[in-house]
Amino acid sequence: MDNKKGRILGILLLAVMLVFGLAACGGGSGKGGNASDGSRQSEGDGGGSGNTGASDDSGSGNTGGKQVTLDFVWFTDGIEGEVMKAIIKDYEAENPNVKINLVEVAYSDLSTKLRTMIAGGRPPALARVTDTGYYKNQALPLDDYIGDQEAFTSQFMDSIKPYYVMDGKVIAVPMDVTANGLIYNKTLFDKAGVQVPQSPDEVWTWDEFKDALKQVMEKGGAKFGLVWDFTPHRYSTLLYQFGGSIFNADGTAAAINDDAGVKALEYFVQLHKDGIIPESVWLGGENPNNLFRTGTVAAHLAGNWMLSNYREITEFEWGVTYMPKAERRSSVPGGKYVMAFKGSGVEDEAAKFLLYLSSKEVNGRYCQESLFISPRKDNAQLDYAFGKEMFEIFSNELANTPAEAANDWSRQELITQFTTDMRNQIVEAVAGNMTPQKAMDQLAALINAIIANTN
Amino acid sequence: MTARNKALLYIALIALSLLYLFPVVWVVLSSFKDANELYAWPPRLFPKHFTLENYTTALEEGNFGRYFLNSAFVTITSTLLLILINTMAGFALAKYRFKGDTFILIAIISTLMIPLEVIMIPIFKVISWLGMYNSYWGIIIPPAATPTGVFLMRQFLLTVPDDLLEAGRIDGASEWRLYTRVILPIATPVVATLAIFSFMWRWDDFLWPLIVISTPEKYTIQLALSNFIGQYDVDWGSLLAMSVVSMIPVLIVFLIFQRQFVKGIVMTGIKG
Repeated sequence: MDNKKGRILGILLLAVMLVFGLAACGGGSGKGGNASDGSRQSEGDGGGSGNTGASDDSGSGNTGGKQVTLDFVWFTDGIEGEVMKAIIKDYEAENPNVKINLVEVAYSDLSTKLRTMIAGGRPPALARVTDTGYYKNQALPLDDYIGDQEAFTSQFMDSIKPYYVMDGKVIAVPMDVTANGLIYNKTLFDKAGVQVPQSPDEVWTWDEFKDALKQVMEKGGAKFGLVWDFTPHRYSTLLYQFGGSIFNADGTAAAINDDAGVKALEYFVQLHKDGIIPESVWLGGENPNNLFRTGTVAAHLAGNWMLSNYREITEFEWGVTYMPKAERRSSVPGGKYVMAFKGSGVEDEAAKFLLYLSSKEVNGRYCQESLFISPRKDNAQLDYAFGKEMFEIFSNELANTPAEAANDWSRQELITQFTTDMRNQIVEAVAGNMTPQKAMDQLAALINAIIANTN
Repeated sequence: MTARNKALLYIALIALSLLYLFPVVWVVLSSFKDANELYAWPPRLFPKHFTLENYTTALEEGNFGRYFLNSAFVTITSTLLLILINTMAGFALAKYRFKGDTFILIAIISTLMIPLEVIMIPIFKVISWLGMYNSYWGIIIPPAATPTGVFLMRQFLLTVPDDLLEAGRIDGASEWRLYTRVILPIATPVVATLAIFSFMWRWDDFLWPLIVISTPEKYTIQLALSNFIGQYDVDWGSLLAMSVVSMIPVLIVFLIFQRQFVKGIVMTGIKG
């Protein structure tokens, strides 16, 4: 008898747990029912003041007064997250039926989060991305919303067009562009009595720059001459300066193992051998920003995005100067985009917000307050609160960048497939496991195979 | 043991503890340094200008009180659920013979071989279908029954003589009563071990909450911490300060359960 009673008690307990669990789940995700809509329908007391039209749950075309929540997956580097929050607040005030939920993730987790959401059938409304090519098939084409494509894209710098126009469709809007550049420790340079180029006419050659760094190390007491971000994108700056490129002009074959490509890598390896660049960054994964901030490194090859971080430095003076040239001068453009996704159920509202973000006024505010370079041609002159003269140098770097750089990096579909391998091959050469020629030959073979598979 | 040997042993143990303690001490001390001192070369162990700035800015900017409550709720509920399910399953698999019991055990153990990354998307779909996406239950329920826990429980309960249960049955105790009055008290050390592990697992859990949670108000502490890391820029000050704060609950739980925990290691021979 007792035995039976015990079993019933057990079942009862299980049932209670289940009911409790389910009830709580329902409460957690808004209105259960239609699972794919769950979190996007407005939670709270449904509809509310902004709800003027009939609240029809189905049919995303009904934008009238439907309460919608847009999930916006975002990562933050410096202060731009706070700027974006302020912009969202203003937008929500103007559009009371839209709530934008900024889902902040770390940059390194961005792709995990986005890919799971998309593969799990629950894409976010919007996301901030750098590798647009990776998501081109999931992106919401914006052509129905922007009107004339030509008129829309002509507002932005021409060189970045391939980043957001793919297969003839606009799949994202540019938010900011970046330029690689050289940041130096002014205190150390002054101590060594070395003057940096004051105008584009005085740009150093690489050999002159190397001598200057040696002097700063000897007389200025710098432990290292230069730190260089551990990314293929930053490395490629040197490649273009030496006259090389990753692909040939029409993107049908690799060009990275030609004479210029190998010379660039040889030079890069030599900089490590001479002790000017610390091996700890490329071989040990040490963070170059941290090294520069210790005040013991003469220069950092990074880009304009570092300004809002280095602005906090009080221990020493620093500045931006022109990068040295080899065969020619070059920077590398980059940028960040915001993309809307198909299947989010709120495509119309998402697209509308994208257009708002890319407008002259909003984009200008975003870039100016975040210390970014605007991709809009009509926002070329922004009134930055900090480092105006530095931005002029970055703009000058971009203006003196050969077409190869944008041509290479805008081939996002291809390049995202081998950036890790490219980095590894450079590491192999720096570590002395391979000659630069062999490292680049292997990389070129891989790139050619990728091109053959993709087309 | 002679006095001399004992002294040597103590010296070795103290040296080893200091070695393990050093990174923690370094983090704690660094959390009181200002942004520029964090990067100073050569690094100093003790902050030159002691400041609470990292703590105050992080607490003001982020909603850390909320994140702590979220983490606490998720961790505690998840741990209770885990103990309940695992002790019951372990009990059943150790003490009842039924058709297919070995198969079930093997099936449970074999799931240990599959890492979360592999089954992430299918679980995500199930969670999404059940309406648990972006809810606490979405992070509490999937890891509630761990194969490690079931296995640990079963192996421990195998060592409990069946006679004990028989005696209970003769005295008229129900199976339910045997579970609550005989099994659970005997298994206290294992339960304590499980509790500590589960607490640590759930408190440190990152990947799964990252996937499931999409509203900042529902962030757990680990999600909030990771947001201090950007593509180019890491907010070390806030990261250090909040990491220190996030260590405290785990420390407290360990201090409470440590006596049982050590007993558990001695009895089961299993440790983290």
